[in-house]
Amino acid sequence: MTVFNNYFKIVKSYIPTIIIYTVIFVMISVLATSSIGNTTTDFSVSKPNVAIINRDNNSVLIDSFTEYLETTTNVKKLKDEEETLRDALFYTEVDYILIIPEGYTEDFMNLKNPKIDTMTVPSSYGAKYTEMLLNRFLNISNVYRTAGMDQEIIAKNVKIDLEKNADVIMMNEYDATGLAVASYYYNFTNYTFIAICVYIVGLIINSFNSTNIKRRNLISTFSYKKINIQLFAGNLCLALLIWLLFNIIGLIFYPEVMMSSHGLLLMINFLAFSITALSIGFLIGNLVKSREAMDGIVNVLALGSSFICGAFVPQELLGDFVISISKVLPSYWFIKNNNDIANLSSFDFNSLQPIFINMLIVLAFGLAFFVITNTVSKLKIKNS
Amino acid sequence: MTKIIKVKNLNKSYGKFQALDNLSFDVEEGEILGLLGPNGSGKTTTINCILSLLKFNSGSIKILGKEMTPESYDIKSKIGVVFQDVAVFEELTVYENINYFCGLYIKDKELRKKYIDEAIDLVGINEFRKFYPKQLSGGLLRRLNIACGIAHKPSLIFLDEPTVAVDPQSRNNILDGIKKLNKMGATIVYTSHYMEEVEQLCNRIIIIDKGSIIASGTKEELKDLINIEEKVTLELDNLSDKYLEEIKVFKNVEDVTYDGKNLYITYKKGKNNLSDLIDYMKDKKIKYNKVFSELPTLNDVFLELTGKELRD
Amino acid sequence: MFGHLFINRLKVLLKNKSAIFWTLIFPILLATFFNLAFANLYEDSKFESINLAIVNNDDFNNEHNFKTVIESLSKDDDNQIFNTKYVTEEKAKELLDDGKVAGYIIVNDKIDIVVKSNGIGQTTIKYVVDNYYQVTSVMGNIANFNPEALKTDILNKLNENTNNFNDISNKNVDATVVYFYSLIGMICLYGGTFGINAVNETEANLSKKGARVSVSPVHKFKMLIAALLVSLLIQYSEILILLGYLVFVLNINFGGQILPVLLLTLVGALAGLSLGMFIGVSNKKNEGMKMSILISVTMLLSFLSGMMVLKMKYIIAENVPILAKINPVNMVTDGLYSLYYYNTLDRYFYNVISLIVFSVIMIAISYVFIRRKKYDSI
Repeated sequence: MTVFNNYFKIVKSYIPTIIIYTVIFVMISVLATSSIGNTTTDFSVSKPNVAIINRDNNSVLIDSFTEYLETTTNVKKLKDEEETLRDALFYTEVDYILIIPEGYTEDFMNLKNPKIDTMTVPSSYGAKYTEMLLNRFLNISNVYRTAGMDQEIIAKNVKIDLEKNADVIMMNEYDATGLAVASYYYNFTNYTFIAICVYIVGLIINSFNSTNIKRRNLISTFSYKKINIQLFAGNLCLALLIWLLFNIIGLIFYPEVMMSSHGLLLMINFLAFSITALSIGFLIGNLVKSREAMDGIVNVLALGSSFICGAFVPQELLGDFVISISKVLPSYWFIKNNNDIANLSSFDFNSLQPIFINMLIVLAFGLAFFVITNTVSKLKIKNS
Repeated sequence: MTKIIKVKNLNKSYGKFQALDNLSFDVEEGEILGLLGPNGSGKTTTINCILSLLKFNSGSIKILGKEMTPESYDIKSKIGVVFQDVAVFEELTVYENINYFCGLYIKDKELRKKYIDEAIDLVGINEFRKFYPKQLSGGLLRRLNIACGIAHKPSLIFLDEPTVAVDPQSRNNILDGIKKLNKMGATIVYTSHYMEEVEQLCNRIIIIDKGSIIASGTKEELKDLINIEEKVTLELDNLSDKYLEEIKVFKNVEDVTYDGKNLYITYKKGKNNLSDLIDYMKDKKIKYNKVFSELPTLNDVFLELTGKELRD
Repeated sequence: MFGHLFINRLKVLLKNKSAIFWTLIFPILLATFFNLAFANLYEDSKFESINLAIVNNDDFNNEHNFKTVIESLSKDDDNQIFNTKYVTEEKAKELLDDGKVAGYIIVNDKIDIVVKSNGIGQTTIKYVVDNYYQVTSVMGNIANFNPEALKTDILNKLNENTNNFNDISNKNVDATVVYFYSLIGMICLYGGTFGINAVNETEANLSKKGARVSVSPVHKFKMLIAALLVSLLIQYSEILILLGYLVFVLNINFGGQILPVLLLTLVGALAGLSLGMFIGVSNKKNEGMKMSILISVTMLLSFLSGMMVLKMKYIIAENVPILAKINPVNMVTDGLYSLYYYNTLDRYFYNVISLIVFSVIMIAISYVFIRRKKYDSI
């Protein structure tokens, strides 16, 4: 038990660091989640912001076009000035700008197939989809024109056509949007939890090793295994506290989603990951001596894994090659599981089985790291 | 004799704890002044105040006739300091370290080179010029530490416990070096809790405890302060209580103890104490093996003045 | 004196190979990871067909036109959109439940789509069915208006899917560069570790060497500036290497203007160093603690510049603009992005000046702290 107690003495000395880190990264987690808008492919989350600049005269065609635009997007007013337009895109005040050139209506009605100029923020799925819808509008109008209709009739007919929509039945009784947000929150913890936990655990183990190298002779009656287990237990307490904190924050911000079976599964999944993350911290603390190296490694690990395993860029948007690399990291499985949990519509054994298997995979990584750590300790003792 | 340093009514407290209590003393030009006291008595605090590193609550400190402040660069250029902890760059060799620190004082490259060589000679680390601190033993490191502090030939040198945990050979080396520096004209302030060094090295000694000066003067003056003149130890196997009682009332005897193996007698001032004792032993046919006679040490001075030992 | 201080500091820093190695390698590693993550983002190319189930009932089979549409979209050719299974309703539900299809279609008196979530697949299915309804409606309208027109190939026009739009956006519109730019900003600030180090060795209450320096006749500020310049030299060299890697290996676009990029990163590095210096002199905690403060603050500032969630940059700019204006990581990111995106250098210079102002303020405040030369305790 002495090791365990000693561990907490060291933790005490690091309390200010722990608090600063935890506060900052939890804050980042919360801010990020509340802004996810265009990083998901869930269209119900946000309508794209669009601006339309009309350099032509007003016409029935253009009016009906604008009206249609207003049903599918948020239309914002912008001044027709180069700088203003560029700025609006630069700051994504709007995702998409339409500029109707002079003489458009006339050319259109003369079947000259004129084009509308656009400016777009490229990573916006909303903009792409909007363009698809607008193309349909114009192509239908074009067909009507070819058939001989005039503007008023075209407008009337197109409106009727485009009101014909298929009914979409959501089989999910669950709040799909809320779940998407919650799963994003937990995916993001891949970054913030690793940043806090691996860093702090790494620091403490590092500290422990350096102060205790002298006392190692005294403790030599303890096998390195026993020491490591006690240290691990100490780390576990710390990790659990941080785990708890994240969950509480989650409950505060997203109570309806979190207080459900989905929420519970997300928390359990996160628990499995937490254990593995601290096991990584444990390994790094034992391997790395210099402070600069520790700073660098934790950052690369946290940021790097978050990028390639789908915490920042959603997994469905990552290339095959990247995915195959990222499967080597526990983060991939953690994030995949979060996404799968969010998509669960039933909780029978068949549905839950793959979820639990993923959790086991994550824990298996943790176990592997722990074993490696023990081997490293063994080698170190042999060498010294 | 000019007074190089004048400390008057120096007070420093950390909250409720009074570290320095109305301290006043002077340092004469050309002397080696020892500041002797147990750990925590305020020696280092005093030095740091004099060097203008520490804020103090009240009092005045004058060096070379001027008030000492952090901006007194002209005074600082004449001071050398060797701190208790080794303060060198791990990334530089012995030579490079001395060169760096000396270079903070001596701008002329030629002159500096000369000084560095002389400093290396003084502390005797010539074979280690190209070594890195990591490769040096404790004693050599200390010697390097000293070289870094005095290479620029300051006229006033402060050494704060420079020989802690140092091997005997290095220690002698260091003490010799300090004597040499003094001969070359430097005034030295030397703090330590090792009384043997202070006795060996210093002209004048100030004994300090709990932030106040207990006593000051030359070795002889200090020993005169106390009653003890001589301490005698006799190694003998068997001493009857009768004889023990008789010895206790010998003239000039201060205190007698016997632990079954050794007889310890401390004498007040007086002559022939030892010879009288030996005669007595012969007379009573008491067999003894060895006899030691010691003159009082500064530790005895300290013990009597404060009731504590110098080294805890 | 200055030269003496400079050269020695340089010697000392260059000997610390571990620090130099790590501060160099980890941004390169990160940049590589970023690049991997974005590799696929703009390849509209490989479109994976969407798994769809159709309830194979009579109503469906009777709806000939719709059936044809589905079958043609499910054909294994270049235009394949769907991977379609024709199953019973129960089986369709099962497939949806298990996530094996994005959704299923059931035809009763109308065509219904059943889904579980709202992603690309589901939207595509909806688009197709909507389209079917709408084309049918168009045909009806034309028939009412001018039945003769139906005899021509008029409806092929609809299937052509003409693009009515012309993208005149700036050719430089790849938003993922912002990630790399904010990475550079982050690295600039990470240089603050050198700043903290430099301070450590000149303050008596922080290190023994600091004590030595404090009793020497050298002005502490001079010493600090010398140390800072050495750090700047090393830090900037590392940034140049990173830039080289980004430009020549990862082919990141910087708008083609080299000198402005070099200037911006130089003042960015200075800003980072000065921030480190400020953190170093302004509090009495130990070195490790200061590093932690620097790192966590840097990550927060990087986050607010859009590093992990691109949108944050814009949210902050819109809602808390003052924050965007004083965030040095953002100054670097913004400066680089304006080089890339705009034709004029106005905004770029605004950011360069902001960085200089930031550095000057940090150094000035540090000077005030350093003037406190006596300590309460060492």
